Formats: sequence, C-alpha cells, structure tokens
Amino acid sequence: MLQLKALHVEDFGPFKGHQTVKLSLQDGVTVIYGENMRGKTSLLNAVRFAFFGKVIGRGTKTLSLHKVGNWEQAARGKFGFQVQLEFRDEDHEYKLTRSCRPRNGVTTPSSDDDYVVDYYLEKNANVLGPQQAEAELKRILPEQISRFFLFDGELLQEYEDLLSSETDMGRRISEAIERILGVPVLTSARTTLLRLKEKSEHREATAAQGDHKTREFGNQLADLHAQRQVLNEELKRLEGELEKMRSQKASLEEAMKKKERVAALLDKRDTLERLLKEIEARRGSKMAELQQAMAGAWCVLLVNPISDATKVLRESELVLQNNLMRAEVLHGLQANAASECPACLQKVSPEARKRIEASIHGASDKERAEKSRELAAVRRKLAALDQHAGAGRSDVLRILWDAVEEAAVDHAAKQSERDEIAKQLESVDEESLRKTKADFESTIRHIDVLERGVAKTREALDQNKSDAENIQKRLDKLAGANLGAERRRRELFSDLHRLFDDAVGAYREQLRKRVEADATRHFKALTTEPEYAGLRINDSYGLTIVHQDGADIPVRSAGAEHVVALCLMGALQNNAPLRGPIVIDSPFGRLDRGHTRNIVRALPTMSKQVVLLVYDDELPPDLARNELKSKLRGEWRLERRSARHTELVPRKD
Amino acid sequence: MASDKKTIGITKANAAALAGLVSAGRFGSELDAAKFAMAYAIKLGLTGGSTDGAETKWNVGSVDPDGSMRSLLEALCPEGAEPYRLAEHLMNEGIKSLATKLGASGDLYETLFPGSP
Amino acid sequence: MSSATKQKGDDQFQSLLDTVERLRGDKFPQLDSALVREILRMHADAGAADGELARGVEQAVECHLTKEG
Repeated sequence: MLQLKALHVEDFGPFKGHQTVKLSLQDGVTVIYGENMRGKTSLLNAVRFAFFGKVIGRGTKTLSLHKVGNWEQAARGKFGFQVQLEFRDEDHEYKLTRSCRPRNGVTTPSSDDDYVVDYYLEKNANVLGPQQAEAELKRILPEQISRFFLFDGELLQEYEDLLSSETDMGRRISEAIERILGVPVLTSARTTLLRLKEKSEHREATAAQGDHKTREFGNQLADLHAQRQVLNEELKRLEGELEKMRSQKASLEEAMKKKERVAALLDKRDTLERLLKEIEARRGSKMAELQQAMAGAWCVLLVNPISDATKVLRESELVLQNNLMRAEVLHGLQANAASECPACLQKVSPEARKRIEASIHGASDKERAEKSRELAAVRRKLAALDQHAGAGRSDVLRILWDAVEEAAVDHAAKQSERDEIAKQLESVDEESLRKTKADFESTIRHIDVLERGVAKTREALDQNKSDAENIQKRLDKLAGANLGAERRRRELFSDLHRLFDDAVGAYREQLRKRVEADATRHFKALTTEPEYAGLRINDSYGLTIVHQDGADIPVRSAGAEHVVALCLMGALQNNAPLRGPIVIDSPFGRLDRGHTRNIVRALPTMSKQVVLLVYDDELPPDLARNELKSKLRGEWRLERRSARHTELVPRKD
Repeated sequence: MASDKKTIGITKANAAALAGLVSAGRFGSELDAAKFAMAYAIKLGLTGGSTDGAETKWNVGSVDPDGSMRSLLEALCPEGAEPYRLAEHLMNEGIKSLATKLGASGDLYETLFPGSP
Repeated sequence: MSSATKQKGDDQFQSLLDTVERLRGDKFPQLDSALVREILRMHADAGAADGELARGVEQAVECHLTKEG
C-alpha cells in the first residue's frame, strides 16, 4: 500500500526556497490549513508533479510549467523548481525527485520550451534505471486512476467524465478501475483458453482429415479454421489500429484543447479581416459619394457673401427697374402730346408737360437701352447668385463626411485590434494548428472506417463459428475412436473457455454491485438527506443518487458531486488491492456543516492515510479535532510571508 | 472683357499644396479643390488682385462651362474687371491660406462646418 | 510484498475463485474444480508472458486428461 512520508518543495508556486511537510505513517488524517490563494492547490499539484510531471489549473487544463516557479525567485532571476516525495510501498522505501530547470544556456526562460523536466527514483536508497523507474511508478500509481487519490474538490469534470461512458476518457477510467479490481485475471484466462480451444479444434480437424470416413468434414473444418485464423488476425490488426487511432484522437483532442485559445484568436483575426474588408468597401463607396458632393462645397463657403451680394443687387435691381419704368412712362407721355395721364386719366396740361420734359433729361433712347442692359446684367448676376446659393448642400456634405470619418475610425480600431492579435499569434504555428484540426477530422473518419471493419469482421467470425459448429456436430456423429481423444480435449477447452467467459460477465456484475453497495454505505453515512436511499452504478462506474421512491436524482450540485465522488473513492479503496493515500483539496468548500462533520468522521474509514487541504472556515480546527480525535495525526498551516511567499509550518495552537 | 484670361493656372509653389488640399478635402478633382480655395479667399474678404507666374491648368471653358461662375464673381467682386484673372488670383491665394490652415489643424471639417464640436 | 497487500491480493483471488467456482458448479459440473483453480491461479500470478501461460494451461489440461484416462 502506498503511504506518503514527506513532501519537499523547492520554489514551487508560493513556496519559496526549500520547504517540507511531514506526514505520519500511522493510520489517520493530516490537516493542512491555509486561506485561499495561499498554496493548498499547489501542494496537491506538487504531488501530481512528482508522480506525473504535470501541473493542473482550472478546468483540468495543464498549466504551463514556466508559470509554476516561485515568482519572487523569478524576479531575482532564479527560475525552475523541484519536488521530492518520500513514500513507502509494499515495505520498500522510495524517494522520487522531479525537477524543472532552465535549459543549458537559457538565463531568462520565457516559455515551457526553455525548460527541461527530469526525474529519478530511488528504491531503498538505490537509484533505479529510467525504464525500471517508469514501470515502478506506473505500477504504484497509474495516472488514469490518480484522480481517485489526488482529489481536487474544484475539478469535478474528471468525475463527470465517468458518468458519460461515451467519452474516450470515461472508457479509459473504467478500464483502469477494472484493472485494479482484478478483472484482467479473468479476461486473460479467457483469452488463453480461447486460443487453446481453437488450437484443439484444429488438431481435431487435422485428425479427421486423416480418416477417409471423416475426411470431407475434416477438410471443411480445416478450411474454416484457416479462414478463422485469417479473420482473427484481421480483427487483431483492426482492433490494434483502432486503439492507436483512439489514442491519437485523445491526444489530438488534448492538443486542440490547448490550442483552443489560439484557435479562437485565429477565428477572431479572420473575422476582423473580413470586417475590415467590408469597412474598406463601405468607406470606398462613401468616399466616392463624398468626392462627388464636394464638387459643390465651394458654394457652401459662399453662402454668406452670396446672401449679402444678393441683397445689394436686389436693391439695385429695384432701383433700376423703377428708373426704367419711369423712363418708359415719361417717354411715352413725351412722345404722345395729347395723351392722358395713364394714372388719373386726365389730360396733361402744358405746364405739367414742361415739368416732365425737364425731368426726362437722361432718358434718351440710348440711355434707356443702357439702363436696360444694366438691369439685364444685374439680373444675370442675381441668377448666378441664386444658382450657386442652392448648389451647396451643407447638410448632405456633413452626413457624408461623418460617414467617411466613422468608417475610418472603425477601420483603425479594428485594424489595431487585428494587429494586436497578429502580434499574439506571431509565435504560433498556424499551419500546425490547422494540421492538428485536419488530422483530428481525418482520425475520426479513420476510426469510423475501422469500427465498421471491426463489426464486419466480427460478423464474419460469428458466421465462421456457426458453420464450424454445424460441421463439428456432423463430425461428432461420424467420428470413431481415434478422434475421441481429440474430441475430449476440444470439448474440455471449449467448456473451460465458456466458463471463464461467463465468469468475466458475472465478476464484473458482482464488482459493480459491491462497489455500488460500498459506495451506498459511505453515502448513507455522509448524506444528511433522509430521503436519499443510496447510489446506483452504471456500466462505467458512474454513480447516481437514488431517491427512496426509486427515481434517480438527475442534477447534482457541486457539493453533492463531492460527496458522491468521495463515496466512489472509498468504495474503490475497499475493493482494490491497490490502496493508497487520499489527498483532498477543498473537500468541504461547497458543503454545509452537517455534511462536513459526516465526511470528517468517515474519512478514516475510506483510506488509511488522508491529507486534507482546507481553510479555517471550511473546516474549523475544533470540529476536526472533535470528530477525528486520535485519528488526527498532524496539523499544518500555510503562513503568509508576502503575496507570493508562503511558508509551511506545523500548527501549534 | 476682351483682355480677360482664357486659361486659369496654378503657380509652381502652390502645386504641392493643391495636391494636399485635394486629399485633405476629399475632393474628386483639383478643379473642385481650386474652386473651393477661390471661395475661401472670397470668404476671407479678398476681392481683387492678380497672380503672376501661374502655370496653365485649365481652359475657362472647363472651369465655367455656362458662364455662371463669371457672373457670380462679378456679383461678389464688383471691382474686378477681369473675372477669370480674378478667379485665378483668388484660387492661388486661397490655396496658400488653406495650406497654412491645414498645416495647423489638418482638417477641412471646421472650415466646411464651422462651430462643429 | 507487504503483508497487507498480500492479504488484499489473496482476498481478491478468493473472490475471483468464488465467482468461477459458483459458475462451474451451476453450469459446468463436469469440469474439475482443481483444474479450474489452477488455471485461475496461473493467470492471477503477475509476470507470466502470454506464451508461458498458454503452455502452462495446456500442460495442466493434458495432465488432467491423462489422469482421467
């Protein structure tokens, strides 16, 4: 059984310098108290890093290792970090040291590529070779099931993967669970027996070929066996390919997830490019309109001068008009001596006539013509003024100017946004991202083809099997003593194979029932809701809460998710030979006092060694001490030295 | 009137400024910009004068196809005896003034729409 | 191997055996329980390669068939 002894961290997260937390090897619970952002999750990540070289952030995203080193140290130019984990497993003492250091020649690393991650494993003070070390670590704590031991209360996605057996991840997790629960013993026996059964069938067919009575059937069987062999090989090849493709799909998914942000940026950039083109077009067309309209802009400037000039000229026109009219009238009176005054219709007296003649001076034909020309000129000018007054549409111009300006501003804004994104994408290999996406899609298609191929091959094998069985039956009727021995062997293998085949299904079913029962038992101890009857398990070890009326509780709060996941962990620990410590970060964050109390009390029954990472309000020290009593093996604090420096100290109060 | 100019031109010194005015003012042609400059000069109060050394750019027939511009100038600047010569002068002076103004604010907007925010 | 793990491992083996034995008794009473147990034991012990397992089982079966006569 895996037991942690001590965790040494150096410049990891907020843990500046070299710091240690020691854990008791006696059964029980160690509690590490720390406020939010003090480094609780970092401690969990330190254990993860030691075993798997990975550090997880929000939403199960792997964090960039460059961001993990202590910031205060980095500010002083010291980069990189190390974790050392001392543990015991099956009476052997281990020390696992994993470090992340800047590459040779890199003084100021800026990305993960600038670092080298290395580890070595000591077993009983001897350093193991790399392959042996890897094998040991895989055996001691397989990564796929590490989530049941290193439990981050915030990362529930992992557990939800289980509920959905559709996902590849869900399938892998349930395979991992079955592996630790012993199923492979049976499946392996089943496979061995199948091969031997087929071998014995072949021997029998060969023997049958040797006897003229049974030769025909023997030949047919031999042919079917040959065909079966070919089909089996084909199936093996296809299933191997399929496994490879599925694993490729999973890693491409992982890669795409990492590049999700980049993909989003690329999309944004492409959208901006498109919008920029649209704005360009809009600006172009507005500009053309504006240019056309600006032909009349000069008139806009002249609005006031035109208005002033018009006023003056109108007065002029009036005067000229009056003069001309008077001149016409007088001229008419002068020309016609006997005429009457057109106004009063009275005859014009000679005295009046004399007065008229005196004032007409200057009204000769020539002078009148000139006045007429003058008037015409004034009128021509007025017409021109009038024409140009109306030509300048200031309001239209303004709208067009504003539109062009707006488009320009919009363009500039989007362009600078686009340039900003382009800068961020500078170091990105766009080509490789598109390739990853293309590879992913082609992998999915490939998987589809393979799955269909596998189904077809299985169908053919079934047909082959049934044909062989028919012939076998006929052969059995005919066969003589010399075939008896072969037949007995064949029948024995066949029975043994069927037995173990049935056993696989029965054992799986039994396991699930046991895990369900144990999980339900834990659940009843933890839940405070009396109407909950227990937990129900699905094919991939996902658990649903069951109401006492038999119905599933469909939606769960995050707090309930915690509780259920804990129950599964406990049940697995109860049923598996692989037992290990549970390290839980913020298990009670979403739970009320009642659940918290229940869980604290139940923890020692779930695993021999439990480490809790909590804050005071989440788990008041008094509550922990009261509920755990002698099972409380250690208390530690994460103490603040600065915003980016935390010290691990044993709790004294 | 028989002595009035038949062509209108821009001095070498003003050529660059005119080009600048075309782009700053979003004009469709140099002629449009030149007319604008002329109007600006009138607005500033210029009513008479003559420019030497102008290099011919346009025929008066292109500048004033229907003769209305001449009538307009006669109305606005009655002292001038040769409207086209005056037009040429006003254009060149206007270009110079606008160049200075643009140099300071870079914008024709305020000239077009005075009092805008 | 620590005793605790060994115990847990034995428990698991027993559990597997119980399942297989129950089925044998119900559906395949003609099969010899000692032979079945031996086959299970071979596969439960870690470390054997596929080929070795097949040979081991074959031998066990031959042995059994010979004893039966």
